[in-house]
Amino acid sequence: METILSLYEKQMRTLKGTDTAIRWIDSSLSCQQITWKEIEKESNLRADFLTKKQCQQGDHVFIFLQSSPEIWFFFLGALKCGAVPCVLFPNFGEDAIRSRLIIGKAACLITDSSFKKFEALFLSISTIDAIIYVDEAEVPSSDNKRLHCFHSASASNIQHFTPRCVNPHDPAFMVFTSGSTGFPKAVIHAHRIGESIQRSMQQVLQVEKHELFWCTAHPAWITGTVYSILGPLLCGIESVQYSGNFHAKRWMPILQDQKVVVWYTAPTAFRSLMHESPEFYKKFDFSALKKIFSIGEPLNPVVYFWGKEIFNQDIHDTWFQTEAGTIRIANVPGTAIKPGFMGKAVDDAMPVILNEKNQANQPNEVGRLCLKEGWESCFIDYFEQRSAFASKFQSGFYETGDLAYQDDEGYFCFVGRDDDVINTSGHLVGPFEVESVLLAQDEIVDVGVTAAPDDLLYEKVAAFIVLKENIIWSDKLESKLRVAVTSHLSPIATPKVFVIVDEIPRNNAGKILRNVLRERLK
Amino acid sequence: MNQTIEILTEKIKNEIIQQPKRELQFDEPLISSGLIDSFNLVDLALMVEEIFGVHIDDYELNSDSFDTIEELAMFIIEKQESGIH
Repeated sequence: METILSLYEKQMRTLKGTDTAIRWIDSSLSCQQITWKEIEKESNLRADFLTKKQCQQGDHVFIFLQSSPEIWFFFLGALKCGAVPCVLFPNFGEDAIRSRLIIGKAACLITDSSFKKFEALFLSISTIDAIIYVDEAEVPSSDNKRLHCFHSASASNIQHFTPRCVNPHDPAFMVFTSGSTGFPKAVIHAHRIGESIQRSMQQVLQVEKHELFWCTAHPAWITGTVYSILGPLLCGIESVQYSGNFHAKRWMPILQDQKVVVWYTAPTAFRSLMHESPEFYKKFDFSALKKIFSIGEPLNPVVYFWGKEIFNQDIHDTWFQTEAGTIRIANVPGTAIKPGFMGKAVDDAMPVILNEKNQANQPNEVGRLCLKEGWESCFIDYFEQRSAFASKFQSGFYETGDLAYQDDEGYFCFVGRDDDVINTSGHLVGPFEVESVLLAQDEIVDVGVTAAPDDLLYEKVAAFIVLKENIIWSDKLESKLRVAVTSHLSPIATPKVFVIVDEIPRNNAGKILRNVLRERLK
Repeated sequence: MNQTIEILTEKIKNEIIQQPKRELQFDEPLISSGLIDSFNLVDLALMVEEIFGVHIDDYELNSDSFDTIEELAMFIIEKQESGIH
């Protein structure tokens, strides 16, 4: 069985080093070409640097950087060291960063100008042996011995780095996911995922050599780690990466001017693009675009039909999740699409719909979507949460937490979550984290957080709040609470709806009855 | 300054967050509160560029650069005065 590194090395032997690997597009839409040779050289430099800073095999290397090629260079550099990289969203607030660094036992942290903002937090994490600072324009004044500045120009000019030997079952990378209760969990994937990534690039997304691929997902998301970073690297595919903010006036020129052939994005992005008039899209030539895929939330039929009209192409919905590693259910190009359905099982996936007796449901009956154990890209652990890992597997099946049904032709249709996790624009938000931040606010006695339906985001975060006596609800207080969640967690987790109530419904054990809260929002 | 604040308040209410009836204070957090989210940050930058002739780069589109209408007005005026458009 291959590893991520062995597959990458095989690709590198077949590629012309001077060919472009990444077209890096910035917010002004100017394009920087990064060749395969540069990727190899830059990742070697960083692997060498990490090694000199005592980065050991199996160490967890956290990458907390603004969107830049450095994420790619350090990710691959860490893999070459035998370390386990983990990318964090650059807009995370301090609680979100702290919990992930602690839960994931960070040994090394790669950061940039954010260091200034989070210096005290970073230095408070005792497991971190090295903080590597990569912003060349601004060097921090701190003289802490754990802080090291990396300047690619002044790094040792090595051309070659011998990667540490890893086996397919060794941990390769880590991605965080949120659950119904408690703090986020660190999902560990092993090197054996590499072959599955290759297969899904070739057989599901069907990206051919010499076709330009654009996966819009940030690498902190499983889709970004697997399909923005690793997929192109393991298949020798040229890809587009865009570091600016989302906007139709940015994305459409990229699709047109770069001649993107395979495009993998999210329903929320499509729904946002739908705000532009059809006339807007007539200005663009999308003739190079041959395949479009969607991931993250259910793809509404109305979005599918809009895409067909605007791009003259089908949008192929796909399904997987952080623990699943690679696409497990998809509408594969060349097969009939049922709008509103996620598609059929792909690769080595064996999804089933189980009832409460753990028996397979009849067609069209809603039940728990489960995956039969044994697929190659399955995660190998929640880091240091073995019991949580074990609880996800029952009677030979992995519990996805999704509710779905399968029709009599084998197509799967997503119905909703079987737990309390909120899926907002494809990101999973655990209610517990949001409640913890809100409960820490002086004005609040009790809080319950749940999902509310949303036309754009699929679901939005809604907070039911019990205020202290004599506290009056106001725009100012709402603003204060929103800022608290954004600065402690992230903008994604910020409630869009606040409902003031007299009490939060709970069962006898004190557990919040979130289904009651959800009903009130309908 | 006051005129810039007035223009920004109206434009943000009507065109960016599309809540014309909302009371928007000049010192109210816009970005850190999620009132202006990632989907309309670029719209804000395009609006500022069109009206004030000031370009805002994506790396400046965050609450560390400006978060309230007052701070945005200051940000615009500083850029106008420094000639960095």
